[in-house]
Amino acid sequence: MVDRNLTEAIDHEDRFIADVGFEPAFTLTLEHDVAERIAGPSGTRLFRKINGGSISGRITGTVYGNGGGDYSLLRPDGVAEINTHVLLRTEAGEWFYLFNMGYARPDGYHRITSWVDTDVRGQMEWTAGLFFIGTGETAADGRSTTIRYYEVT
Amino acid sequence: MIDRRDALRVMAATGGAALAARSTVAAAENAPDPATLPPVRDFGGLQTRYAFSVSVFFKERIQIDSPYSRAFVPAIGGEIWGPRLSGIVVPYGGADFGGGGGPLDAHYMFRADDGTPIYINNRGYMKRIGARASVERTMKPRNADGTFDQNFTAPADSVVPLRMRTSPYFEAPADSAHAWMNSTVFIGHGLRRTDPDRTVFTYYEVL
Repeated sequence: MVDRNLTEAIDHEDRFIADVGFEPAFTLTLEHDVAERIAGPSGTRLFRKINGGSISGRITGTVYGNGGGDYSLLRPDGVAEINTHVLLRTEAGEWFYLFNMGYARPDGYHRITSWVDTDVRGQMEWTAGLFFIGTGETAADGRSTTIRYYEVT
Repeated sequence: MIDRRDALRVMAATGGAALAARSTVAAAENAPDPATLPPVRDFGGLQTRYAFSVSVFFKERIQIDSPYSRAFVPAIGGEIWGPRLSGIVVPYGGADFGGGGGPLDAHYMFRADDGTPIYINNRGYMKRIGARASVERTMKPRNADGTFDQNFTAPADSVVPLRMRTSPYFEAPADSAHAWMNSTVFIGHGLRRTDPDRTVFTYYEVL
């Protein structure tokens, strides 16, 4: 046992196990190329060029196809560290940036923390400063990925 | 342990399938008996399970009033308890370097009861409940001698209700019993407490 230098017994009471809930927020479909592989020093960098896609739910719009990409790192243990940058444009013409990080495991576990940026003057101001949790799935042909996002409540 | 050069060679040849099989085996060996763990909660397809709690104790608070208003808040120590991890927060092993009152970006070291060091990057946000944007803090005036005070005190949730949510990422030794944390997404809830000054985090694993 390590030395417990700082402890407050009251913090261990069950009432301090805080509730965290989730509500479905939006679904993102990314259309991308099949991964290119770069055998780098810390694993295999996977590059998937994003060509388009759409978002629906509490935000509706399309994926900007010029410059988005997934740059996941496939680690030696077979787990991919997700690293995806996406720019979207909503129906109202507003820009919306998503940065996905997370893990895609060989057992099919594909979970994401998504950090967003939006114009605080726009309709998506409610997302400013928030992050979302996503469950993803890449199609068998490796050419599209669908992510269901949940808002943390 | 697998030699990395070999690993890359194998991966290049097999697309990672051979290693994937190994890592799956390792995961199965480390998987706890579900009967001993808290219940799984389902939120319309997203499932979570309580993993552990962390108390982080603070003393110094230094604010750099840059355009992004950065705060430096070192962890003087703390404790980790719960069904999936037990240990301590290494005293002065890190700090929150995030924006003052807004985004959190804390880098700490944990030490598990078995001695394993675990790195945590705790990222997220804290918002004053009811406020439109981040917590506002007024800048203090300069002192008569031209110096200015960069110290600040954080209020407790009971004084100023805060909404603090994080999604921490961990790095644990690949050959340790905590390696599962290297490929699991977590979600956290932070509660500010005073006397002594600390935050109690509740972490759930996203299943």
